[in-house]
Amino acid sequence: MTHADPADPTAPVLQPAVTLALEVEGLSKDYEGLPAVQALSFRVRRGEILGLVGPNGAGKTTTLRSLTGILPLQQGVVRVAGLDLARDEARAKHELAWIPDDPQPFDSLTVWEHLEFTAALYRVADWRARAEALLARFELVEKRNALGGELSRGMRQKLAFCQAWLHQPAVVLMDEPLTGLDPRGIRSAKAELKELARSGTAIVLSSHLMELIEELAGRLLILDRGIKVFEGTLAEARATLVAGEDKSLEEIFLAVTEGGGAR
Amino acid sequence: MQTELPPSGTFGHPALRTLLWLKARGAVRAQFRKLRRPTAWIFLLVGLGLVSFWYLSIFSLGSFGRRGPPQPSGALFAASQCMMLLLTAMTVVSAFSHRGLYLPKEEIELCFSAPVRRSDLIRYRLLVNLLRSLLAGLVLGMISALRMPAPGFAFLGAMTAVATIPVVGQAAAILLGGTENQLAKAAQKLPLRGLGVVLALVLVALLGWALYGDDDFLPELSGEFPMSGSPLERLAGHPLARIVLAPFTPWAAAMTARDVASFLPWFGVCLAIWYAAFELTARIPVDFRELSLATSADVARRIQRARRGFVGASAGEAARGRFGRSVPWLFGRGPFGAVAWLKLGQIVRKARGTLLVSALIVVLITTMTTMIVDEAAGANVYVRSLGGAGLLAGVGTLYLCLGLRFDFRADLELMSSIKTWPLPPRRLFLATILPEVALVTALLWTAVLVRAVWTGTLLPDLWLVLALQPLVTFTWAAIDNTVFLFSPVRYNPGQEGALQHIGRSILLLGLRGIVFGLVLGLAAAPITLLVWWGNEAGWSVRAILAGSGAVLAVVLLIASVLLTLAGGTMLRRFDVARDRG
Repeated sequence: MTHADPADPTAPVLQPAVTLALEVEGLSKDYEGLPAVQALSFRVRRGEILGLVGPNGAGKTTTLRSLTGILPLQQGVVRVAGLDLARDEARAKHELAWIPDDPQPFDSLTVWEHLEFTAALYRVADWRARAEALLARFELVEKRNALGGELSRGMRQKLAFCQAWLHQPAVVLMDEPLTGLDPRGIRSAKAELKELARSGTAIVLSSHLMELIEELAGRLLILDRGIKVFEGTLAEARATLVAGEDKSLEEIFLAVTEGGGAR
Repeated sequence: MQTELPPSGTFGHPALRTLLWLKARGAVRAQFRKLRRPTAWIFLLVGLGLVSFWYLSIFSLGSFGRRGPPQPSGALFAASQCMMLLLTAMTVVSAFSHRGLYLPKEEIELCFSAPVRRSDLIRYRLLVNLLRSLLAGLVLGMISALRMPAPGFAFLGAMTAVATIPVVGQAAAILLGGTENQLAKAAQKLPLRGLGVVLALVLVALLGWALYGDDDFLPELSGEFPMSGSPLERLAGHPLARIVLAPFTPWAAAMTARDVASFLPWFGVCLAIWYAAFELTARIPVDFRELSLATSADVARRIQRARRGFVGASAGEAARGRFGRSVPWLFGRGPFGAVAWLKLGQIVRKARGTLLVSALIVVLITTMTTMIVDEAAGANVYVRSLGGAGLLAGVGTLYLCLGLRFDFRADLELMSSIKTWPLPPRRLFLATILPEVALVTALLWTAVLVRAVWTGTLLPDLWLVLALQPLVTFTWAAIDNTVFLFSPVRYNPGQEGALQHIGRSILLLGLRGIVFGLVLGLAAAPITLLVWWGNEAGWSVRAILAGSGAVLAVVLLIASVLLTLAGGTMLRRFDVARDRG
C-alpha cells in the first residue's frame, strides 16, 4: 500500500517489510458461555497459504470472523501486518480482505460500482485499469453494469474475489471460497490464489474440500471443537499424526478428528 | 413397497396433516424457547398488556355502541353485507399478486416433488389458511357479537364468513394462474396487478361517493335510491348494490339473526357453502406449479427484504432507471465518502419507492399539521407560520425516518461486510446516517416552504425552522440508529414471537422517546430562562426567537456529537453472531 495520507488518522501507513502477515495469540471466543475457539495461536508469513480445516462446528468461521473484526475480540491478540486489530482497528482492516462463503453484494450498486466503492473504501489510487483487468480475469466483463441483486451465486463469488484483490491486501481470509463456482471458475480461482500468494499476500483458506487444501496450502491448521490439534506442513502431518507417507489429507483429517461428529 | 396414493379425504393427505400439526406444535415450542431469557418474559408481558388493552378497548367501544339507541335491523344487515364485500374484494385483489398456490420456500420443492396429489396440496394450503383466518377472525367475531342483536349467532356467522373468504381467494389465485397459463405470454404482458388496484380503487371510490357524494349519480345510472334509512342502508337498497351484495346474504342473515329459528337455516347454508367452496377449490383442474414457484420465490424475496429493512422505501427493488444512471459523490472520495455514496446510491436507485413513500408521508403530515395549527392558532399568522412549520418539521422527521430507512435498519443482513470496513465505527455511523438526514431535510424544507406559500404564511422568520431542521433530523436519526444497534429487531409478520416483538418495540420506542425528550428537555430550561429574561429586558419577539433557536441549535449540536459517539460504540459492540430474532 502506498497511499498513506498523514492528515487522515485512518489512512494506511507504510509498514516496514515484516515477513509475518498475520499473528494470532491466545484467541478465544465463546457464545453465551459455550466456547467456540480456545486459546488459538498461529502465524502466517507473507506469500504463504494456510489451510484451515476442521469438522463442522470446529470454530473455523468463528476464527475467521474474529480475525476480520466482524466478531468482537473477546480474548487474545491479532496483528495484521504488524498492526494490532484491537488497538488500531481501521488501519489493520486496511490490510485485510474477507471473502465469506456466501457473499452478499449491494442490490443497488452495479458490479463496476462495487469496485468503485471498494477502491474508495481502501483508498486505491488508479484503480480503474486494475478493476478492468480483474473483471476480465474473473469473466465479469459482460456483467459490469448488472446490479448486485441480479447476480447468480457464482457471479457474486467472483465479484467478491475482484473486490478482495483490488486493494492488494496483506492478508486474505476466505471461507469456502469456491462454493458456487463452475469448473472453469474453480480453475481460474485456484490460479489466482497461487498468483496472489506469489505476489506476497498471505492467505488463510478455510474449506472442507481436502483436495483444494492439499493442492494450495503450504501449511495446515486443524481445529477440532475450538482447539488447535495440529499446525504444520502436510509432510509433518504425515510424519507425526498418521503412519504412512502416502496418506492423503482426507485420511489425516479423518484420523485426527475421528469421532468428532459423535462427541 | 406401497406405490398407490392414499385416497384423499376432505382434509387431504395424512402426511400433510401431520406436517400441519408438527408446524403448529413447532410454533408453540419456538414461542416457549424464546422465553428462556428474562428479557423475553418482560417483552412478552408488555406485548400481552398492549394486546389485552386493545381487546379491552374493542369491548368497551362495543359496549359503548350498545348503550346508544338500538341499530335498525336493515342497517346491521347492510353493514354485514358491505363488510363481507369489502373483505372479499381485498382477498381477491391480493390473489392477483399471489397467483397459483402459495407455499413457503422451505416447503414448496419438498411438497411438489413428493408423491402427493395436487388437490391434496390445495387442501393442505386451505387448512393452513383456515387456521390463520380463524385466529384473525376472532376479533371480527367479537366486534360482531358486541354490535349485533344476538351475540352468539353474530359470532358464529362472522366465523363462517372469515373461514369462507380465504377459500374464495385461493380459488381466485388458482384460476388466475390457470388463465395466465392459457394466455401464456399475452397474459404476462397484461398489467394484472395494476388492474387489481384500479378495480379496488373504483370500488372504494364508488362506495365513498355513494355514501357522501351526489345522490343523483347512481339513480341516473340504473335506478332509484331508497329515500329512508341510514346512508349504508340506502346504498345497500339501491338496485345495483342489491345485485352486488346478494351473494353475501347468508352470512349477513346469520350474523343479524335474532332467534334460533332464523339463525339455523342460514348458518347451515353458510356451512354448506364453505364445504362446497372447499371441495370445488381443491378440485380445480389447473396446473399451478410454475406460477406457484414464481409466487413462492417472490414472497421469499419480499420476506428477505423485510428482514433487511422491515418496511419502507429501502425495502423496494433497486433499478437503474432515469434517476440512477450515476450516483454523485457528495461526501468526498475517501472511505467516509464511499459509505455515504453507497447509501446515496440506495436512495437514488430506489427513487420510485422513495418518492412514493415520501410524498405520501409529507402530504399527510402537511395536511394534518396545517389543520391542527389553523384550528389552534386562529387568525394569528405568526403562530400559524412558525407553529405549523415547526410541527411539520418535527412530526415529519419522525414519520419520514420511519418510512424511508436508508440506514443501519436496512443493513442488518450486511453487517458482516460492514464490520470489515476500514473506518472507525463513529465515522462509519456518521457516514451511514448522513444521506438519509440530507434526504429528510430536503423533503421537509420543500414541504415547509410549499405549505407556507400555500397557506399565505411565508414569513421571514421561517428561516429559523429551516436552519434547525437538519439538526433535529440528525438527532432523531442518530437516536433511532443507536437504539437499533443496541437492540436490533429482525421480525417478519407471521413469524413466531409476535407478542415479544410488540413488547420489545414498545419498550424501544419508549427508550427513543425518553432520549429525544431528554435532549429537548435540556434545551427547554435555558430557553425558558432566555424568554423570561428577554421579556423583562424588552427584547422583540424576533430577537427572543432567534436567541431560543440558537440555544436549541447548540444543545442539538452537542447531542449530535454525543449520539454519534454512542452510535459508534454500539456499532463496535454489535455482535453479528448474537440471536436477533
